[in-house]
Amino acid sequence: MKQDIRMGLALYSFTSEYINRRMTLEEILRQAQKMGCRGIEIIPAQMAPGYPHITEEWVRELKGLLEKYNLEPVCWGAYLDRGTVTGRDLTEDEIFQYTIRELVNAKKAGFPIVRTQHTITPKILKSLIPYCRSLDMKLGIEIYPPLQMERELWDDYFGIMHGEGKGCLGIIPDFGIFMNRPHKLWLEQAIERGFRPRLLKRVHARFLEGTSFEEAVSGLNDRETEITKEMYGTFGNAASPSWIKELAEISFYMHGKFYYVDETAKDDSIPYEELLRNVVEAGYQGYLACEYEGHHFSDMISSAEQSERYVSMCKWILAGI
Amino acid sequence: MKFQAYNKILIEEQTVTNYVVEGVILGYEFKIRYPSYRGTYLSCIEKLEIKIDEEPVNQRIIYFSLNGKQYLIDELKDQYKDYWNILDEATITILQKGGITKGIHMVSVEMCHRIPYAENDGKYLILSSAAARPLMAE
Repeated sequence: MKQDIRMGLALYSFTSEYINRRMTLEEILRQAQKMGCRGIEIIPAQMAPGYPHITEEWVRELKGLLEKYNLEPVCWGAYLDRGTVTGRDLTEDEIFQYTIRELVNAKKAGFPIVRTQHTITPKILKSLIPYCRSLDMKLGIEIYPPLQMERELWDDYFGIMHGEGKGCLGIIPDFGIFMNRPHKLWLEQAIERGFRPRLLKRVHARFLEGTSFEEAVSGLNDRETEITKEMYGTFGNAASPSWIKELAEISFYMHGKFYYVDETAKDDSIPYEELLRNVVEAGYQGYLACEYEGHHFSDMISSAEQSERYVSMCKWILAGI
Repeated sequence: MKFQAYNKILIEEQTVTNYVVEGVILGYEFKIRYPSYRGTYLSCIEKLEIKIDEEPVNQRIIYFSLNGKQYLIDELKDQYKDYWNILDEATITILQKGGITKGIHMVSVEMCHRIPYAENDGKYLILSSAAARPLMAE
């Protein structure tokens, strides 16, 4: 089937290596080139010295590196840090200015898309439309778990994105919202936290069979019950893979979140085959970023190996569509 | 149980050094980092507690230095303009006349920090990060 899905890399995938000083920004970019992930997302709050103030010197350096490795700046991973001031939230005016600053910084650095977050409010989002249009920038709100459950909130945003904000306001879906089964790292951590392996295996099987939480926890101790509650909460509220079709219409960019891809290039936790088929069928054109997040669980796993497996997985799935 | 893998970077694997003022040893120092995947505003540090060899250190003798500025622990909550980059080391200075005795000391740090974008029902997520590491005092 006709498709135009390009692989990108969220540099955040290499958090373990970056924060433990095993890889520099340049080394991560070189790895992106090696993996064929041409489109780049950077989180300035993670990698820009002097953040939230972006210096011209750093922008020059970043542009030089992207050029050196033949990479394309795609997404500026901004935040909406509404709770920075102790005791109060940022006001609407402050959020408006904060977001324009991010749009300007991204523009100067050559990134056409800015990621923001759901707390921005529909009113502020609308007020940013003229700025996005005059700067020729796109602003995308990320939907990451557990925000898939906030359907009313998204309906308000989607209305603006299909309406007056069409073409400059959109969504950045994080595929973590479709994660419907525990992954290897989660299960290993449950055992480290004291879940008896034999019982975890039983609970895991019951979860997959659709057994209710109340039934699944029979015979467990308090700690195991608590962890099981987390299992049901984290993996039991996933969005239906069909939702991505609706999201794709208003997406400029997608976060290919994953925690663990095995040696056969498969992800047990997120239904990638179905998701990518839906993305292609919806006619989405743009980048899909490799976004490894296993570093929440362990800093000893090679992010390069995981990312390479992820790219292989996407390739074989896309080749079969 | 998110973010716990980052606690390892909280205490830097470096020596404890004396805090010397004009030739007078007024205390000792060691380095810490922000235990997350990205940096944060100092105002988001809600609690910072230190133990040396299992003994809690009184807040009134601890200073926190970063970006060329030395803060009292109580001042941190107001520093929403000062950002702690994820790769930068902050210095913890503890007053103790004559410094710390030479040799290995168990340094423990517990930090509660607000995640300024993670809000639920009007409340921000507050993570507790703790680490302990034996450090050599020279």
